[in-house]
Amino acid sequence: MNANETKQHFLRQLDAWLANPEHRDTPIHRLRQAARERLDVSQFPTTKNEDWKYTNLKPFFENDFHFAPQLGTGFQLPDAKSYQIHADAWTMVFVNGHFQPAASRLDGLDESITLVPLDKADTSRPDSDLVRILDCMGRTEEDIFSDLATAFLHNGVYLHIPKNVKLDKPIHLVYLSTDSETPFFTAPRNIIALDQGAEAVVTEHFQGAEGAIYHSNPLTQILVAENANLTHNKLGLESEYAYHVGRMVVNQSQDSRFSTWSFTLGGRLVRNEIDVLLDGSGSEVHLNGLYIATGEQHMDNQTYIDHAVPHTTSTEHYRGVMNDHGHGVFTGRVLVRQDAQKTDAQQMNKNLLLSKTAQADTRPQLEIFADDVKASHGATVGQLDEDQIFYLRSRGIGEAAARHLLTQAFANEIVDSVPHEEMGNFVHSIVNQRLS
Amino acid sequence: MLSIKNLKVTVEDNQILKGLNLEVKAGEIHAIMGPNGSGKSTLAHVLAGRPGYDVTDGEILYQGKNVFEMAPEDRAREGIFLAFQYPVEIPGVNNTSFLKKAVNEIRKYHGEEELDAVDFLQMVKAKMKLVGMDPAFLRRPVNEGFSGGEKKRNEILQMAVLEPTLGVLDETDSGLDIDALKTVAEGVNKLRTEKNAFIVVTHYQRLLDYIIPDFVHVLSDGKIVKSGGKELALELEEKGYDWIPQAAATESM
Ligand SMILES: Nc1ncnc2c1ncn2[C@@H]1O[C@H](COP(=O)(O)OP(=O)(O)O)[C@@H](O)[C@H]1O
Ligand SMILES: [Mg+2]
Repeated sequence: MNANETKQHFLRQLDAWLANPEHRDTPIHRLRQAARERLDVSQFPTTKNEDWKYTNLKPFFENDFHFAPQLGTGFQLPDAKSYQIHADAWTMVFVNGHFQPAASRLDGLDESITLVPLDKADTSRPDSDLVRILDCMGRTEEDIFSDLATAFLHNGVYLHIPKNVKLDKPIHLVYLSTDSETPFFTAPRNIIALDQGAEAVVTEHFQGAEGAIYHSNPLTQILVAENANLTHNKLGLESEYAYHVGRMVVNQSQDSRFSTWSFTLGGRLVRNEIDVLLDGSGSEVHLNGLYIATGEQHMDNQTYIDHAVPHTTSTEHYRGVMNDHGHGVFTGRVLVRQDAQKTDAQQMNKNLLLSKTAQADTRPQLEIFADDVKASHGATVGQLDEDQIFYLRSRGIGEAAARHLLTQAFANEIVDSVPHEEMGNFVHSIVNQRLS
Repeated sequence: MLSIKNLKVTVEDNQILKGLNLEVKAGEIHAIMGPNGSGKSTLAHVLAGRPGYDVTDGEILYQGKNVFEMAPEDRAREGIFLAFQYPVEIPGVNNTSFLKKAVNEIRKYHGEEELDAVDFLQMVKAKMKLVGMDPAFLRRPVNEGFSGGEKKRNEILQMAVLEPTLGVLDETDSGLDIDALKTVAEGVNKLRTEKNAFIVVTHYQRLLDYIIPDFVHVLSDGKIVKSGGKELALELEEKGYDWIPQAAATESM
């Protein structure tokens, strides 16, 4: 299929699904229909599109994905050991887009906190917080993947933490994809809203079974109110044949703090988009990421930080390790608006190429319209340092072990910065596997 | 233990070593002195097996084996240790895991059991005392952000931990204050036995007040042009290198 045929393929399924009489005329259904209308004109991007210059969707078009098919009768839940990270966490598990109450752990959660699958959330009133949040996203988005996510809005998570509540356990949202007869796609929608002074640790975890062919199309909306503090991880462990185009939209108020670690350690073609609006003075955002692309893997991180008001801070630190024909892409767009005096924006992207055929493209894009600003960026693409290798060998460490040690050290600069120990350990062991 | 014969080495088409000869026996300490650029570090690197050097002639036998047939890691495992003039920084690799890896790779090579974390730490802490290093350095990445003196101490620590048969110190004394210099010298003297040997490359004679060499060699323009006892170092200190007539010296070898 080409781009247009793929789009028509998605639309045919979408129209059939939207026509399902089970859908009543709810506010959510109206959002779907609005997104459906936008899809009439939008197209899948090509590499002529500046934002997609280094990511060619051609392999994606070669598949014929079907919308979240029902799990068969013989379906068995994957073993929790394969995705468990924390000894104790509020956990919600989805399999191929379908919520699994039996595998989820929510009992004991304080009643003031909302943590529900989206289809159980109250969306009947158009003025409810959730509908308003969903709606504002629907209106600002123009890209086809977000429109597809909204048009196919079927499930996901609504998390709301009220004023000054600090969660004492992490929240673990697990999206599993299993091997199925036909390639399928899911469009999980996650809403994470922290009210004033609230604090939480939330992990979005995408994991595919070996050999599974599917497309994940998540859309996450995050609101961090005044003085609230959200620590977030995105764990990308998609299968080697999987596609993943995920977008995360973050809106931060005064003195809020948002820190995220994005680990892209699986997938055939992955694109992670992060779009942060720093809309209150004193707000700060910290984006960290590690991607490891081997074989034919393609991994693209596209970040955008909008410093809209004075006295805001952003730091970005992304690292990529590419081997074989792996291809890593990083684009770091930072906008400092004219009013945004006293902005502090730091960006760093480092790429390590382990083979001659591996590739990295890195694009810092700083647009600064204020004059009293501290901004810096650095981007590197390089190989292992031969002097370091020799130093290690001269101490009796074999060449392969020396290269392995240095590659791990390069990646660990990101892994070691994860504040939560259980998460750090989990990622460590996967990174070690991926690099050996 | 070490026999270097007629060693000729080029780097990027420049001949640096031009027929160097050196014999080192177990229990001996040899000092190599010479002006900047004379080829001292080149010799040290070729011994350790650093890539990028072309050996165009000559041989190096270490314990009867041709070192050119040994990978750098195997030379280290067989007991050759180079304390670098400019140790590299390795961000992300902490000193403990680096040293432990080195110790255990060497033990494995010799068919010995690997040290566990407790035994290893105990051994390293004792060695750190020996070279006057704060145990806090163990948690830091290898050489990253170390001062010049701290890097040199770290080299000596590694040497103390790995207990080489042939230790080569490439200007370990440069950039050290007198206290650090004494500590380094003490480290070497404590490691010294009848079974091992050291080659001490230095620019100044002051290190040789603390490490007493059996032989002093002058390296100039890629050759050893004069050899003598420890008095030669004092003479060099007094008169500099200019008085050594290269041709005459070459004849006398
Ligand atoms: N990697 C290199 N590439 C080119 N020239 C080199 C390299 N290493 C050393 N040299 C040259 O070789 C000569 C000897 O250097 P070196 O062995 O470092 O001398 P020393 O240690 O005695 O000061 C110098 O002229 C130096 O410039
Ligand atoms: Mg030198």
